[in-house]
Amino acid sequence: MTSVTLLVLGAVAIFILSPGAKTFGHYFLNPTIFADTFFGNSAKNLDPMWQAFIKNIEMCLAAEPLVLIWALPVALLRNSPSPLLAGPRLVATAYVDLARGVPLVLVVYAVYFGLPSLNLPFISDRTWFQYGLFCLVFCYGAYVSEVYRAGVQSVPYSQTLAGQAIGLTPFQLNRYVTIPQALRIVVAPLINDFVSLQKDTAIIGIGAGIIEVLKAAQISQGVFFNDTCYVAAGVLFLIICVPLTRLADALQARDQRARLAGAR
Amino acid sequence: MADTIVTLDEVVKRFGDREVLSGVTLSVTRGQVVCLIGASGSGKSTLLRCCNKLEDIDGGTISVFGTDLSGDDVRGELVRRHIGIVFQSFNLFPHRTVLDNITMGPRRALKMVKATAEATALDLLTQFGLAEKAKDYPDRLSGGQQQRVAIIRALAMDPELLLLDEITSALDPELVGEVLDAVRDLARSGMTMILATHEIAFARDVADLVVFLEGGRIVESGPPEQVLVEPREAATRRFLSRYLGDAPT
Ligand SMILES: Nc1ncnc2c1ncn2[C@@H]1O[C@H](COP(=O)(O)OP(=O)(O)OP(=O)(O)O)[C@@H](O)[C@H]1O
Ligand SMILES: [Mg+2]
Repeated sequence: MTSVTLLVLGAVAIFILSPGAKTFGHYFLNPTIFADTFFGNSAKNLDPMWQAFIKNIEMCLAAEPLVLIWALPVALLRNSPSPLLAGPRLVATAYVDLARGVPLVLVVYAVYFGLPSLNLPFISDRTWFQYGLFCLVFCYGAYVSEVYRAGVQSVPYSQTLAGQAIGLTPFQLNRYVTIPQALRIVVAPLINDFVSLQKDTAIIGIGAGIIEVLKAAQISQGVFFNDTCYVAAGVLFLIICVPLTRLADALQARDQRARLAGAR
Repeated sequence: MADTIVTLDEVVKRFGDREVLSGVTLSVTRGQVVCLIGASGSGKSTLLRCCNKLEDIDGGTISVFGTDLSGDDVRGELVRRHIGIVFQSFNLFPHRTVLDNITMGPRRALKMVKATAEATALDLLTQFGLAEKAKDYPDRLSGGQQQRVAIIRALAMDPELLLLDEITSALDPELVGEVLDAVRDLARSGMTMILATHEIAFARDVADLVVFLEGGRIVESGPPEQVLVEPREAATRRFLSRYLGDAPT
């Protein structure tokens, strides 16, 4: 604890004592500019940044349920041992590899600039929001399906046997035995993925050409010629992310403690 | 033969190329206690699992209560509602209390109302000396207590046949007694049971019929006084001498 405090104080000290501290403070940590960016400045015709941030929030809130749903069949397919599903399973595996391997920003370029140029009905004339959802669901569906898969696999086979032994149907077995046990394991990693998704809504803005928080920061920067605008954008994300990561950690710790204490 | 509960006729079971049961024929009548003995890998667990359709067989027939289990149209879960099984490794549900572990089968599979299921469960817990553990999670219990809960979970389904697969093998020696006592009480109460066990003395005590398996075949079967004391087959003698530590010649 004390060593951490020392480290932090040390870092702050280096910061303050650095020759450029004053300039840095002016360009990155300027309270007036922070306030003007955050709450808007009608004199400079600048909208509040938090309004732009609402677009990011909307995007992640709309994407997350779709991600959670879409990942389910992918995970089930990948987990299914049935030889009948060998073909679809291969497709699912290829999808997961692709979606996890390609940076989101490239997916965003492909979708926002590629799809409209195809000139196809329906596919080529979607709104920026729908394209954004597609990108996020495409990428995060793969991550989340892996989380699901790990969760289900971490429930031992002996639990399935025990459920079968008391005459549960396959559905009841999932409902009362496998899924409840998988869920506790999966909640914390799901929150972590949600946090990443939340941040990555900024990448959607790159292709979408809308004023979400990152774009708003750029506009504000153009008005003030001051980088505090970017700090303001970072703070907005932190306000959402930090409580969520704390929650994920707390859930994980609770699960761990319960396991150790044998109090589950 | 009116009261035959299980009939196995030339049962064959394979895992891939490996034949694990090679023509096992056996019948069990109501109230009988059958002990399966045999070396590790001889097929005891597999035989038990075939009896409640946790495994499908590859040849021969198994009928339970007059129903042929080999048919594809026979749903395993319906069979298992009348046949309890207890495993070596307890397999309690860690996310449910002791009481919920016991009532899950009656409530979900048998659609019993909650109050009735819980009353039955509490009766059984009392009978097995575990009433005060009802609200605890399984991890709070000793191995012997967990295994007794697992037995109660099977009994709560009111089974007509109970399969016990080496239920004391995972227990510390000092906990074996309490579990065996519970099984002994069940045997006295007339429960029909097939149990795989390495406890030869216990088998001698409770069994009506002892079946010695080797390499997926029944080598010898008969009353305990015969199979365990004066075995006819050399293979049985070899097996027993290893377990009892002396070699009857
Ligand atoms: N699911 C399975 N897949 C493949 N082989 C299996 C499977 N289950 C059992 N076997 C094999 O079948 C044989 C018999 O196993 P089984 O568990 O019935 O023996 P057992 O008599 O119960 O032995 P133990 O005393 O060790 O419990 C073993 O060789 C085992 O490796
Ligand atoms: Mg076994």
